[in-house]
Amino acid sequence: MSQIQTLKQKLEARLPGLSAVIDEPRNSNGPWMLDVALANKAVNIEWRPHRGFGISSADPHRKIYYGQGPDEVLSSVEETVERVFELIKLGKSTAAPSELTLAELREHLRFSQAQLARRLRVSQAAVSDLEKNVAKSQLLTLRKAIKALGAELEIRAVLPNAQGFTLKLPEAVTPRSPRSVRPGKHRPPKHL
Amino acid sequence: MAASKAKRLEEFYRRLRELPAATSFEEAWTQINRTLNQVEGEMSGVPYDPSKWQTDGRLYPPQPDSERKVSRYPKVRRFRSLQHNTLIGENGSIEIRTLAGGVVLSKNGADGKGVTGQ
Repeated sequence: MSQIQTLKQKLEARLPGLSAVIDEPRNSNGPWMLDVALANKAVNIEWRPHRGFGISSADPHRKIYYGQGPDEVLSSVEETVERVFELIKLGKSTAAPSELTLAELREHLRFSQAQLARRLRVSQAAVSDLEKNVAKSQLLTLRKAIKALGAELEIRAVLPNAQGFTLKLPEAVTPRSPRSVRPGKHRPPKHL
Repeated sequence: MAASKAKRLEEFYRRLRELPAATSFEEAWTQINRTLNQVEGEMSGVPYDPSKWQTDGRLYPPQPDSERKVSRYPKVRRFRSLQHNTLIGENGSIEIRTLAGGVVLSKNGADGKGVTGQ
């Protein structure tokens, strides 16, 4: 049984009365779709073999535009079951990542401040400080925090005519020791 | 400042409608891809990177691997995205529908027939 079929079964078991329809691609390596709905809540789930599950709420008040990619991407069936359950049972909605603050991104990725702090080997207060002062943080600091969350930082330049370019950044330097993310006299904010 | 997704799609549909009717699937496919990529390149402010699966704020045309089987209409090919189906006929006709079945855009092929009229 494929992962999308497993997901469908698990969702149907967790959410009695759920309507769940699989839209199979011509080529089984292509993206599979699972459209689920219960009462007035609906979620579109896209499964890409070897890549995971893309999820978007499809609530009546929310418009999903033609050509738009999924709001969230999760790696396992279990995570996806929990997230879809939350979306449908608790009435929550997915959000596009471009709309998130650093704190929201951390929460979205299910990290606590303490967990992120441990990964960065800094204090929880330092993470809190970074989240409050992202605009004042150094690029390297922000990049390390984003990387610790399992993501990549990108910076985009948008021209007046709306043409956009991603700025090429040098390869990230791997910290040689915990000290490299600790306070340094040339590295505000002071705790990171 | 980048235009809203609604405005960009309005422009995409306008340009696509203004193009000459396509004579084949391949021509219609190219029209959709080229037109949406042009509009997004000009108006979205987001660089083109279809390998990014999660939304990056840019709108992407259907990818070849998103094709589905269409049993009732053998001359029609269907490409699924999150909330839409793009139907393209052998005769170059195009139809974009919401999952609920609402027609967002309909364009006949060069033979004057729509996707289901071939």
